[in-house]
Amino acid sequence: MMQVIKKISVLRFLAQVLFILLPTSLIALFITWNTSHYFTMLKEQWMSQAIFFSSGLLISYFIYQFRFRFLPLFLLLVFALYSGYAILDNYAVGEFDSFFISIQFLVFAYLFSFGWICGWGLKRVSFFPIILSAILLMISLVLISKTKEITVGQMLQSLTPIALYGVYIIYTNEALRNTEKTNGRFWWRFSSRLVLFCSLLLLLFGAVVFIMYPQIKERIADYGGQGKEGDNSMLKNNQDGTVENKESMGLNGNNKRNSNPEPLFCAHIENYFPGTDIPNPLYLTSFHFTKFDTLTETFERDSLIKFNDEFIPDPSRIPLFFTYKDSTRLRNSFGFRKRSTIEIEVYKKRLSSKAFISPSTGFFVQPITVEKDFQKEFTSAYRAKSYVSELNSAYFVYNTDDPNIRGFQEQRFNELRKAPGYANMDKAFMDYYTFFPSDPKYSPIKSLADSISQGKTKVIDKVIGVRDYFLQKNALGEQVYAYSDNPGIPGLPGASKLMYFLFESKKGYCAYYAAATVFILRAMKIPSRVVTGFLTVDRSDKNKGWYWFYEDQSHGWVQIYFPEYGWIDFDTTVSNEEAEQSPTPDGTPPMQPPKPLMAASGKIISVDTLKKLSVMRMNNLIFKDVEYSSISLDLNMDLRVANVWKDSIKMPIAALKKGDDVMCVSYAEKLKAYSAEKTADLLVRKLPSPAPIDEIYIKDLSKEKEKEADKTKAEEKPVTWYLKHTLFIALSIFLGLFAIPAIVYLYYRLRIKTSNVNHRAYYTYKAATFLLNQLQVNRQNLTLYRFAHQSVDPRFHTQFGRFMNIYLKLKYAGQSLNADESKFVEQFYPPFQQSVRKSFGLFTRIKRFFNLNQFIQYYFLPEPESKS
Amino acid sequence: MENNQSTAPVERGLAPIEQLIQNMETVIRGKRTQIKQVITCLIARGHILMEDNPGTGKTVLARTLAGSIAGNQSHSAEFKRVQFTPDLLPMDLLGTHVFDDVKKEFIFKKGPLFCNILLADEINRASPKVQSALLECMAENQITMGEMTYKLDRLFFTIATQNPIEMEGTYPLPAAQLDRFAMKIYFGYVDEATEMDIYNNYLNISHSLEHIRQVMNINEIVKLQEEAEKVFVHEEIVKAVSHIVRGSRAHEGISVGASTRSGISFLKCLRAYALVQGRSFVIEDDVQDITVPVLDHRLMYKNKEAKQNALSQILGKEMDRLSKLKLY
Repeated sequence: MMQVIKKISVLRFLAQVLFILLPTSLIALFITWNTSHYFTMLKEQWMSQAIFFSSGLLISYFIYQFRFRFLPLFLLLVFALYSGYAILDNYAVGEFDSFFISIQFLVFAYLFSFGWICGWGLKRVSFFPIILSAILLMISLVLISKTKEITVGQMLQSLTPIALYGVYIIYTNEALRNTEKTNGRFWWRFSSRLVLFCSLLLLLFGAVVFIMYPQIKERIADYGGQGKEGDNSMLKNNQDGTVENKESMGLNGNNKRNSNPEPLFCAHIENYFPGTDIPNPLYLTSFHFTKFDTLTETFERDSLIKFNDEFIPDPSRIPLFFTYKDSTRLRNSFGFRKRSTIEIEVYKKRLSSKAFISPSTGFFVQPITVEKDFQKEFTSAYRAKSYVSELNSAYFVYNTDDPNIRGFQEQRFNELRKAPGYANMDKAFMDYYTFFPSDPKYSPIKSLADSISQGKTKVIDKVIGVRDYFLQKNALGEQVYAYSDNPGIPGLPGASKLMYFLFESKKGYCAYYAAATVFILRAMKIPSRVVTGFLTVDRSDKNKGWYWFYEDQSHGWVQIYFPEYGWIDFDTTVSNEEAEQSPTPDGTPPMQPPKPLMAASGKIISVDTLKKLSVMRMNNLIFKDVEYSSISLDLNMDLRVANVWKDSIKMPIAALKKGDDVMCVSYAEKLKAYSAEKTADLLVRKLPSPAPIDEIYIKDLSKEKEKEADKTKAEEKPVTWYLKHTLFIALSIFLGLFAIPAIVYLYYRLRIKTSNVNHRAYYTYKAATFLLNQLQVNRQNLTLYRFAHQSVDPRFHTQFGRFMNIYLKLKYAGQSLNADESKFVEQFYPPFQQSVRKSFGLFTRIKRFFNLNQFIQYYFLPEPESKS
Repeated sequence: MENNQSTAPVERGLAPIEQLIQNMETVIRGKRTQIKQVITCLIARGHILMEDNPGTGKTVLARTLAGSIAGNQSHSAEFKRVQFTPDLLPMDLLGTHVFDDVKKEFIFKKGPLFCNILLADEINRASPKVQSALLECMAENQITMGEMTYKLDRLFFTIATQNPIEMEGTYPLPAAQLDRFAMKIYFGYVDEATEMDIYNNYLNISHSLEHIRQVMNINEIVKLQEEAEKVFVHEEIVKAVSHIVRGSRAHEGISVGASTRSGISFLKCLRAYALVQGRSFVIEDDVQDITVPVLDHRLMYKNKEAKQNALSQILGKEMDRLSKLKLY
């Protein structure tokens, strides 16, 4: 009987491990995984940390089953950990090592002790699950508050598991506590109740999220759009410390202009006033926001429109010196008057390597190297070409009272007065860019638009009217509309922030002005959109054409379409009286590397280190910005002046090996005389051989792969993605669960084939009884031997009885089988299975094989039946 | 319940038992289980207690068994029947010393106990004094009277019957006495078809009893008894016996569990039963079949419900364990 008691408590313990400790460990894993993103001390070792915690949990849960008191054991543990720590301190040599090890040990000690306490609590304290869930919830809230940018998806992702776990553990712990018996029926009942409970919970939670999703999204949008309260609403901070423009523009209660004095990037814009060397700055565009989400009052990008002229390559994904060009952007810009191509070089400091910005319509990008002396300061650089309207000069765009500039801006207005009307425009285009939400709450904007446009016929005059509307002054000479980074949000939740800005608070930052302007313009049927990017200020006296960009220059403004002229920038944001000047004088611009005339990439075929010659099989060639891709031509190279680089370290020519993947660049004056040809073949034949090469970059393949892996890391995923995946996982778990009987059966079948005679008999027996059980051939109270003889054989005409004779002999007689019997065992199963199968339809078999209850019954004790 | 065709003898030389069973079946129909149990007890050198209402065939079974076994001198084994009544005295059973006028000494007049197969009918109607006298002999296989000790025959097998305890005028056997019976079995009524069969031939029953063939002699029975002691018992079966016996002591519905002696008796019966089933080794089915007749009468239950369920619970658990074992 002692054994019986022991067995029961072992089963009980197993149940507790399965239903309480395992989920707790999983949740710990989840939390450590989440936490390690935010605390560098944890060093991303979330797996081992979760194991620390779980081991503490398991050990203490096991120990406190017996009659130990909490305190003495815990003190013992603390003492052990402390002495371990002290020993470590003495033992480890090397200052850094000991520091490192002791930190590791501390992390272990804390997690282990926490696990220990949890294990004790779960075992001994009835209300502990409540405390535990509260603690976990708190931890996750702290984590969320650490998150720079919160989305609904993220919040659900980090809170849902904890909340679900909380409810689960409270229920399960109580349920397991209150059950005394651990027999077969208990397992079945308990697990079915648990499954029911969990699915109910999931369903409820899913339904709440599904129904409340718009509200949740809106609520979160209130607190900083897609950022938390007090964030810069135009920029987002990436986890690697870089910054880029946000991919949507919401209206928030708060806009924190980061006062980080570090510039984000600097750019050289090759644009001067004609005939002079006076730099002509241009606003730098990042994203076009063409769509408006009424619910969250957020402007969104829309890359699906057919007249898309937004050019957003990812420069970090383009190999060095490779070019990426999209000429459809030129066509889609729908403008040809007063347009020219402008070149720009962008040197990034804190700006994300993925970000791409260019004035107006970009169409060409080429990552370039940063001069060696500047590599510490600038992380990456690219060259870009843009199709820019002369009318987009920043001096035309600035919204300022300066009479000089005002006078200058008249030129543009006069020019634009010549623009034809929208009568000949594509209807789809017009409909899209003049879309005005039908929601009646926005109707006051329409009447405002009517009053502004009254008496004006030309589009540009209406636009000036809008600008002036925001510049109007009251009787006291104060500005009616003011600039504020803290406009606040309307008191009523769900009220329109746009309407609140326009008609009540009358203060806001660029996003408000741009959004309101677009609304008014669209109400006037003028095609317009919001764009974000950077406001360019010419502060450089020494280095003409160089501009420096700080965080507070991130900006949103309006583009208006004028037929023939294309998209023209307008800035209606009133000037910021509190605006600080950029804090520091601009730094020294990087030395511009000479413009690469030729860039070729391919594999090295041969190297002659003595003569400094080499042959490369090119697969890609760029000559004077013309790209020849997927070619296979050999290029003789003269390496006499070449620098060889590998992972930004200068190497000798000898480092160049046959088979290396390389990118070769030439700045040679000699090449200037040649011009691009129709095909690469013609070009290579004309080029001098060997061609002079200045730089050779050896590609580090492992690094490339790492980069690729980084790329594939999920970007921002919508909630539906999470829902879909959760559903998918749930479904596969569900299906997996129901497939267990079939898998187990297949396992037995497999063992029959692979075992020796004795084991084959055992697995044949297992497979046969499993099959019969799963097909609900009921054994009732019969012993297997009688079941075989009296029930199975007569019913299916099999030889199961004889098999059982042999099997039982093998099992109990202590002697091995003779040749006849072995042969019988060997040949028994296939015909047996066949005859059993024949008696059931395919559908019945499948249905019964999905029956988990039957499956569980096979492994647990049959219910003791009462003699009646 | 019992399987009729397929439990064909596996080992050679065991056919005599099957022959014996079949022979007895010509007289007693539809009682194969009980016949087997009786033979098991016989081979296990135990004694059997049969309980059921009068007229279910207990006596016929005992007589058939005796008639099937040849005695020392070509006639059948010595069969005695004692009807137990409240006024029966021990000496009526054991025998008594009588004064021989010729020899001028007391000579011992053997009682009915000196036989091969004794049918002690309605044992619970005799006084405890008589009961205990009988049970002593059953345990010791000898009778001691005064200074003399008389050995019983090497084959001495008692078939006791008793009426259900609820009936009036009975002295229920105390637990200690019950322990001396290897098995206690129930007879029960036969099913309808068999009963019809019996009625149709009822005139022939006594006739067939008289003409029963002797298929075995006492020497053969003794040989079988020796053979039973060589039946292989797997360690796990021993473990199962131990589990069941110990389980009966720990079960909450049982106030007095099975003794170690009953465990030994259990093992003996298992071996004999395996032999009866035509095997030279014990399997789990034997445990299933034997447990209740061997143990049920040795346990004291706390209540009626326990009496119905407790043992089958313990047995069920053990059978489940056995069926899942992988032993080689």
